[in-house]
Amino acid sequence: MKRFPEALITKTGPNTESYYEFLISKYIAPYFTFLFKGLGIVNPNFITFLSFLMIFISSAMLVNVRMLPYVYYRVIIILLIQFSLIFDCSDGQLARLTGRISKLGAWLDKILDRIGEFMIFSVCGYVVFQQSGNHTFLLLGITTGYCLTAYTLAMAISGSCKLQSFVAIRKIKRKKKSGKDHKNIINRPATQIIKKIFFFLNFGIGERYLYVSFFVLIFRLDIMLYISSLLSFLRMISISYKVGKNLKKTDTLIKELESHE
Amino acid sequence: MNELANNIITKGSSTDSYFHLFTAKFISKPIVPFLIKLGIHNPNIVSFISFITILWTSALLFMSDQEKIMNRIIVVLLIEISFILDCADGQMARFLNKKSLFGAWLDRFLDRIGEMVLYTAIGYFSWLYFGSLVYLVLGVITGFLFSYYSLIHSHKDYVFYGELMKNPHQTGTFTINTSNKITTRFTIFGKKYFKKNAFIKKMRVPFFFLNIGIGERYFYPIVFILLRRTDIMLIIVFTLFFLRAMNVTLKLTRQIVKNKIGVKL
Repeated sequence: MKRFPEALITKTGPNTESYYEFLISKYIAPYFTFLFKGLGIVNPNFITFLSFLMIFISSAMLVNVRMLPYVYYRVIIILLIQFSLIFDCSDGQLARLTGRISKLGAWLDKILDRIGEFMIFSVCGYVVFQQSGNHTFLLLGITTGYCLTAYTLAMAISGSCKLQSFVAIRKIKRKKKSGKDHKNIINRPATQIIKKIFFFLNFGIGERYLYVSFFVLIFRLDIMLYISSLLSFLRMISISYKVGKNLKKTDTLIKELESHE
Repeated sequence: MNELANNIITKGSSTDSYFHLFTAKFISKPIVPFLIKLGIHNPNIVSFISFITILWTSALLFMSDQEKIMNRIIVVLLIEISFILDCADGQMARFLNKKSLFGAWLDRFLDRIGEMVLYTAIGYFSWLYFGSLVYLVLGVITGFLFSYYSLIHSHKDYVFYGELMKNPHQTGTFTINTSNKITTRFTIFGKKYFKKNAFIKKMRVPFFFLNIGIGERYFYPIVFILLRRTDIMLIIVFTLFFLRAMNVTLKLTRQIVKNKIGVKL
């Protein structure tokens, strides 16, 4: 992929949390980015809205349970979901390509993602509920959506908590820069290979849509709901545990700074 | 008690919810010394107990028979206890001087999850009780909107914090008043956003129920579960909070677009 400038793919490197999203953003999304640029669409927020609109339409199509047994109908839904994922990858690349990086864009991208995910998983729960008449599937779909919003909420709240003690943390960061660099486990080659093989166990942004589209195709959404609720719950627990650990560390460092002064 | 009063309720006056202020002032204040006497010295445990209580309550809501008055009173009492403990943990941390970033994070995070679970449970209960799926959808969307509201506020801070760490001496788009060493005050999008009209401030006391703050999210279930009309409650809370969330979204986007805070490459 030497044809594309490296600046496009700098942010979504192999260390990204979702391997499927990495593959799409590396091999498919750049074509669309250049297509948009050629068409004259320079505003990345427009593409973010377009990707959200596609997810909205696909979840509205899923609600219509009567049409779901037809294969062509399901294929249209899957195409819409996959294209929304591609557009979601390419809007960031377009912003980097045209130099239109904005705070609004970063903010809008994440929040519309969360709304779309919540919508599609709860709608999947509703579909299985309509088929089987079992309440638990509806609740499973809702819990999946809730867990996915909750883990982003955990990260966002930790950021806004850290903002409160900005000065103390800045001092710590300066001290760290002068000292040794801490080892990063994610950068080790062995963990990278394991991540690539078991990429479907990591419920990242790409894998969510992959699961939905695969199980819509074989029309067994009930299995998907069991898997997705379990994986998203585990993800929420693990990420909030990490965030809490990180915050406890900074707490102890701030106390040390206070005692020194 | 006078020492307590001075120490504890310093933060409560700036809250946006009147019911929250009321419980913090009159109910949870005397509970803090009681909790300390019981041997609980860690405020994080208090917020965790409050979270577990709200989970238990939301399970009880549709597990027990709500036709009986006693069951309803138990549910309402448990919701109230959870809310009081939620107010008490911050006061306890301020009183024992055990303030920490982890505690602030845990309190807010568990609050959001608890609210989401409670409103989904209420929606599920009213679906079973009144027989319409619309109530479950309303409850779920209301629960999601609570987390959405908190997400748009804190994600703004999250992006802002990332920008600050990249370039700490950046000026122009924001100002930092370093009055204290640890706690710094930020006026991010100009002062206008934080100033409030004096007339609106006065009218807040009688019409406190129109503003769905942290306290009112618990106040509405307490009243309407006792009356056994959770369907009306869901419609009211959803419309009021939807308006508020949309209002805040529009305001925030307008502020971000006006200021044009871009990352310098």
